[in-house]
Amino acid sequence: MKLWLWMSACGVLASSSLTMAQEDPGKSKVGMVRVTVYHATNGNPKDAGVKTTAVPKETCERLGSEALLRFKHYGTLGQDTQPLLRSYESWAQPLKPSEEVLVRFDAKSHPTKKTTVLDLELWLSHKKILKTDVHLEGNRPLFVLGPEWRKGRLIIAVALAPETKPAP
Amino acid sequence: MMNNSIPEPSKAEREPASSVVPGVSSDGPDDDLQLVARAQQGDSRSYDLLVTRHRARIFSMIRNMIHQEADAWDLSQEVFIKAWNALPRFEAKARFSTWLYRITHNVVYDWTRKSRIESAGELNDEIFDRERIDSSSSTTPAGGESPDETLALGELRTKISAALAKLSPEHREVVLFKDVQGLAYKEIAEVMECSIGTVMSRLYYARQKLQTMLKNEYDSR
Amino acid sequence: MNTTPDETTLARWLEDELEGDELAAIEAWVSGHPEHLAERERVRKWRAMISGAVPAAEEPPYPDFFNSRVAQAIKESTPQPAVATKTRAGWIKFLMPAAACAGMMLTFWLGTKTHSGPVEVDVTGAPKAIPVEPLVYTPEKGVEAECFSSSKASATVIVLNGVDAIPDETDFSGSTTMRGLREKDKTAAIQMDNEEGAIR
Repeated sequence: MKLWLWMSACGVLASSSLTMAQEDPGKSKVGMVRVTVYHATNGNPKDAGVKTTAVPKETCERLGSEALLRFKHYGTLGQDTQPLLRSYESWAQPLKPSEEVLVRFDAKSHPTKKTTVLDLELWLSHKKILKTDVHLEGNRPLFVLGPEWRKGRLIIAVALAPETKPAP
Repeated sequence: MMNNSIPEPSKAEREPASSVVPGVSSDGPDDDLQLVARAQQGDSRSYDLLVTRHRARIFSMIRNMIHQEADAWDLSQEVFIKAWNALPRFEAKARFSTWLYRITHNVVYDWTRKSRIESAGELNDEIFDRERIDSSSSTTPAGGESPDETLALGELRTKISAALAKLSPEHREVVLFKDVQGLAYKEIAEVMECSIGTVMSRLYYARQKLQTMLKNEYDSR
Repeated sequence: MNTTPDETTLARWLEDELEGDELAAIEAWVSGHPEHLAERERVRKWRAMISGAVPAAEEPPYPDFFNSRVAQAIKESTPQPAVATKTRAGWIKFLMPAAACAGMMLTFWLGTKTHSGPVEVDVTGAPKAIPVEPLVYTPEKGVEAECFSSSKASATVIVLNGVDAIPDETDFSGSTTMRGLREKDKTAAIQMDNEEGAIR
């Protein structure tokens, strides 16, 4: 009898937790968004004064293919990947712990297999600098040529990220 | 001109809202109906003018109801989008503004029904601390009062907002419709889809409660 | 008015909603009931306090963008009109249904003869989805944005002009991009929490 009561209690708790999690469909994750900040310069990349991570060759070629984004050197300053939720906004802080560059985004419409439309804001130095609705596709990111910094400019890239399995 | 991209690069500049539609004289309920009639025929310029005329009141109402400026901005747009979709069903018997308030009531009601996640984690709290936002940032409308007036009005408004927040949504709404937006009992009953008696009793209760909470401010006037 | 007004009419009078003859009648009645006059003054004082402190109308931030967003959303939600087809005149009209029927039967027969597999469908005549152009807005004075689609970079590009430079002394050396480090550092817990939801 006691075992039966205990199991019933567990079942009630489990189902209520499940119900709570399912209650708000707005909390469900519909994708992942990656925000990367590059430092682009035509001068000495060491002028950045920080240790940047190398940018993949493909990305360098991609950036360099567009005249306005073409620089001699690129380095990755930081990156943040955040979930895209159905009805809630998310914030990316790619230069953590610095809040100099923040990106707020939420899903403007339900993502399709091809396109995800985001309502996106770029905040620099705690000011809202840019507001846009951007269409992101699998391999079609958004590049924002941003402010000057240490003899170069920041390029903020926003892209859909593949879902990653949690680390074991 | 808003962005008109692909493939030529173009600047995103602000286009001044159209304020003149030929044939529509002035800014009143009858003129609203003229614009509505045109919008019902597909005249988007007339509808844009209706949005311009009414957005301030709708935004104010929603913001006072939910105290979230960003959400109020989105919800206000939702009101006008829903209004456009429902425009074919609008009949000229009622005022357009009353009809908009009805849609506003439904939109806010739907929003408040959804359970909200409290901010989780140190990161989110820090970002959403308004004091960390640059005060010169153009994220909120600039006030037109003098600093002293702003301070005085701001304090009273803050107290009133805090008191309103302690009311249930129905009581808060009826006070905002009556005492802020100036709607008549009959209009409020139409908007909130209840009887005039219900509006009266909700208003009475809400005012009693607010006057208790704002006793010092009320008695000093 | 000699008889006591009903509750609703009195309530409306207290709120200054009455006009004309209705107002005159109540005014005549309350002249003999000063307690109602006092109540009306209290209501007026209350409304003045609230309406003086809480504005009935406040322009939303970025009002032009507000209108543009509404217009864009309406445009996106409005189905595109079907392409009008040229109507055929005369006796051909009578043959059309029969020809259509024969065509359907032929198609059905052919279909039973073909192997199953993907079938190419000609959609050149179907209404095409109109690509939606992104809206871009820069609230800060002096900042402008150029937005375009770059086929070379296979990306949407926004170029910001007029943004204040980040001071050189600003240091980003604490940031990290290496996935391994992020999983191990203390912010991993916050990130996991964020997967449950976001701000507000």
